[in-house]
Amino acid sequence: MDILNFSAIELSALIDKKELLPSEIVTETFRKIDTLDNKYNSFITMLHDSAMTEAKKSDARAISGKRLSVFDGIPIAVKDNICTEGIKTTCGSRMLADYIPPYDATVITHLKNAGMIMVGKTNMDEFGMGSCSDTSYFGAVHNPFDLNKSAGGSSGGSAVAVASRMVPLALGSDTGGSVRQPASMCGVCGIKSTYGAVSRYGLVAYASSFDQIGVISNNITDGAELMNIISGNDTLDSTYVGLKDGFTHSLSLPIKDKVIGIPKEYLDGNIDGEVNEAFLNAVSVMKQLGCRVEYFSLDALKYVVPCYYIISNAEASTNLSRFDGVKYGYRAADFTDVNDMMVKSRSDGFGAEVKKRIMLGTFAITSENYEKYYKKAMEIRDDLSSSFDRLFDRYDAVMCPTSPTAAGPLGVKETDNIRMYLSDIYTVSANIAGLPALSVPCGFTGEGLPIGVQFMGRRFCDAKVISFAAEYQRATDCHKWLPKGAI
Amino acid sequence: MYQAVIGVEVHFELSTETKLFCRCRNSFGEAENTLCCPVCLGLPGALPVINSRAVEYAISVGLALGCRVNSSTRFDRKSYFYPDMPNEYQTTQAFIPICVDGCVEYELDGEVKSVGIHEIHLEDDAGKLIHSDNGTRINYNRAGVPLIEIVTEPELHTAEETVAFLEELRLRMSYLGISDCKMQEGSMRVDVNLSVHKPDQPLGTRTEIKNLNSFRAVANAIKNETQRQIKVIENGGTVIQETRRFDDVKGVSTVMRSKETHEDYRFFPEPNLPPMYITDAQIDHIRTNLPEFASKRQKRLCTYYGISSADAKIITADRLVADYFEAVASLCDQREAANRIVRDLMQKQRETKIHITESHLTAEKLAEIINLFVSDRISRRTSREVADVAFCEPIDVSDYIEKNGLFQITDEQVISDAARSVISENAAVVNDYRNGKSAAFSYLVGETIKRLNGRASPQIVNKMVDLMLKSNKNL
Repeated sequence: MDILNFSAIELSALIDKKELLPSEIVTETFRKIDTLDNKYNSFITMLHDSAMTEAKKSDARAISGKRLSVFDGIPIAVKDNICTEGIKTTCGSRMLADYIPPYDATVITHLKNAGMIMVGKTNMDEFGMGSCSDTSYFGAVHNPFDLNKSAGGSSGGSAVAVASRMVPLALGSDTGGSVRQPASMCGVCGIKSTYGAVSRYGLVAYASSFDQIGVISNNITDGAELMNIISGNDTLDSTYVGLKDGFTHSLSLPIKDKVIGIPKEYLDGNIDGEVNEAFLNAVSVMKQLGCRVEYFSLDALKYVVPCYYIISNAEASTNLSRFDGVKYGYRAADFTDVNDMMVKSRSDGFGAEVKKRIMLGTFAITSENYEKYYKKAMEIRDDLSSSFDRLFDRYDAVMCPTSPTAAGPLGVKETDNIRMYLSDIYTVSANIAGLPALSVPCGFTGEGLPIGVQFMGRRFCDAKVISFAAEYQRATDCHKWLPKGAI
Repeated sequence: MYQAVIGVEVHFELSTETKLFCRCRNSFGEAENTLCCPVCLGLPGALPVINSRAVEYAISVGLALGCRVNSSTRFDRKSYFYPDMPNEYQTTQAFIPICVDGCVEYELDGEVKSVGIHEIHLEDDAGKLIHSDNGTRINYNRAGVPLIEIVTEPELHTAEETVAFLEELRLRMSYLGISDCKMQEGSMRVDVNLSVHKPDQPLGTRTEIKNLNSFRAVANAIKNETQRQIKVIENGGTVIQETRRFDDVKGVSTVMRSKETHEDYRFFPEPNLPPMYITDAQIDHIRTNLPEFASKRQKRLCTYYGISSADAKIITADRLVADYFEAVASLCDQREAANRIVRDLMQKQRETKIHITESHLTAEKLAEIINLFVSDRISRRTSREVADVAFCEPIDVSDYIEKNGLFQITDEQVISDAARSVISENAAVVNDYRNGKSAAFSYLVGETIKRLNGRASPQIVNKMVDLMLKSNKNL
């Protein structure tokens, strides 16, 4: 049996029992990556040497019974927009194709302190901007359930690496659904914490007030344990609050008699029939587990997509200003003066989707448009946040599909931008309101493509949200289905 | 008759130990690019953390200028592309500045005037471009240094008023001890907004003048721009809203950019910095620790130490000098202390370009010298000479006086012996004295001092010569 089909917690138990060494796991990880990833294109950078060096150190700790954490010696893949000292961090962009950060993101420091083994940096939509992992300068990521299908995005590389059991765990980042949506498309679990629970220091910003680093795992328990590690202390992100009691204290909390709310708006729209069916099955499971289910209507949900795109692009337009060819990153070869250098470097260094969002965001905050667009969007944001606060007085969790459709075909140019942006409709609310949200697998389409279900909760009640997913996974088995090519 | 309407925007670099949003040291003149980190270099993924000391400094400035402190304030991004700006946006306070609605009184030709303070906001400085024949380099040591910008109401009307206000402002800032206030080094920067109109008519279109690096340049620029605008209007033209650069050497201003080409800064809230809440307790704490400012201190020095108002004004023009004076005055004759500082040491400070407080002449040493002089152990000339040397060299005052034989002879026996022999050798002069020639007395005193190698205390010599001449039998 392939050891990588074990969960991270099972692997850890084997290390504890000295039946398996971290270096053996890492060797197997790279054997698998080297065999499979030419089909998936989920990694941009592989770290054979440093991973093996770290694994040997972890071996020694395991042998002497001094493991640093439950995941000491467990391999992990990291999305390529999280800064790693001395290791290329490209953000899937030509702009940073050769960029090597001089410092580690706070989450990377936490991984290292926990003894985890970073095996590579994963492919992604350029700067996190996309929903299909096909805007990367390094090529599109392929879905292991069907290589002609998208992996979802933007953390597609991380989702595929976990789905194909190349690694048991991966870090992603979630600005409007970029962890949950690819997790859903690839049949794995994705957790986005409450805004502020995990430090963003070292995460290359897309939209600062939405971005959260999240985790991708094969089962929710692994993911929750990893969240405990990466949500550790930080003094460098002023919006970091942490999560006092961690993510795992409610894993076996009974959910009987808990009340789940379902937004009607989400089931009225353009939801795919098979997705709808899988979702309703998941709702039945929750009912069988003793939850009460109520449907509700929330007016503000109508505006979440425009609200999200206005604010996130506004922030992105200035966050990405620093990529000017002056200090680091891509610089155009020929230019007449410093302004020309900046213009040409940005024109050549950024891809089309990034440029489009920079322009949209720039438009939304010009002095002429600030009131009309940005300020209005911020009002909707406040309204939505307080609406959710009130909702969670009535409901213990909100449940909805993660995405209206399963993975779409790769290589088809999406000409309808609105439709593309609407694919985020179920995930962006959690980012707008800063809520904890996660996606777990809940079924497959007739074509064999995974479908995910999403749970959301009150801010800083991440552990409670996780308890619903954990209970659901104990009662179901679709998170155990492997993509055929990956076996 | 035209009147100029002037408002100024003054930037001060705050002399905090670290930068505004990171923990890099804030220091001027260090080796290039040695005070930088991911945050102040604008590296991908780096995030700002506010320096609470800079916030306290800004609040203290607000209180010193009579402002109201906003209980909730935040930062905003100001976007424009310039290669010395690491993030390509400045982090400033466009919507809710930390302090607002102040008022500053200043004096011009004995008259007390006032100007309103519109707002004070905190922001970060950019790096510095260094142009050379081999191209342009960037020094990021200054990037992220905290700045405050003080914006006045347009309530000034002349170059003289403006400079008098700026002097008062600089004085208060230096008393707060939170900025170097050096225009040449850029730690104080002044931009002038100016329009002209006839008092009974609506305000004219204003221009902004930048690049002013001395008070003299400010005054010249105001005079120049006032005349330029009047001439434009008199010739039937209209003043265009624009930013101009003043060349103090040539005495002319040129257009930097006009309003049409002015960038849209796209201000919007900085999402990485949550709003700051400032409590009344915090404000009160800062208020309690404000220094006694110059005008108040000047009055106190006059009444408490009995020094002249003119001397007190000179002394209090520099907080450190005033501190120095009070330290000296607590140890010796107070008027003499003021006298020495105002007449001798300020001059020495100008000549050597060494601040009194950075010289070797500590308050204790100056007091020792003054005490030796007052008690007649050294002459006035010696006291000045010793102070002069002690300013530049780390001497021990008594040792130095001793080694150079500068102590005065005060032994009455020694002096009367010398006086006796001078009188006996100068019978003719003594005779002149008896006949009422007053110069004769001075001559005898001078000769006695000379006989004692010029080291005798003139007072005692005077006394002894007088005594002897008056009592014949001693001759």
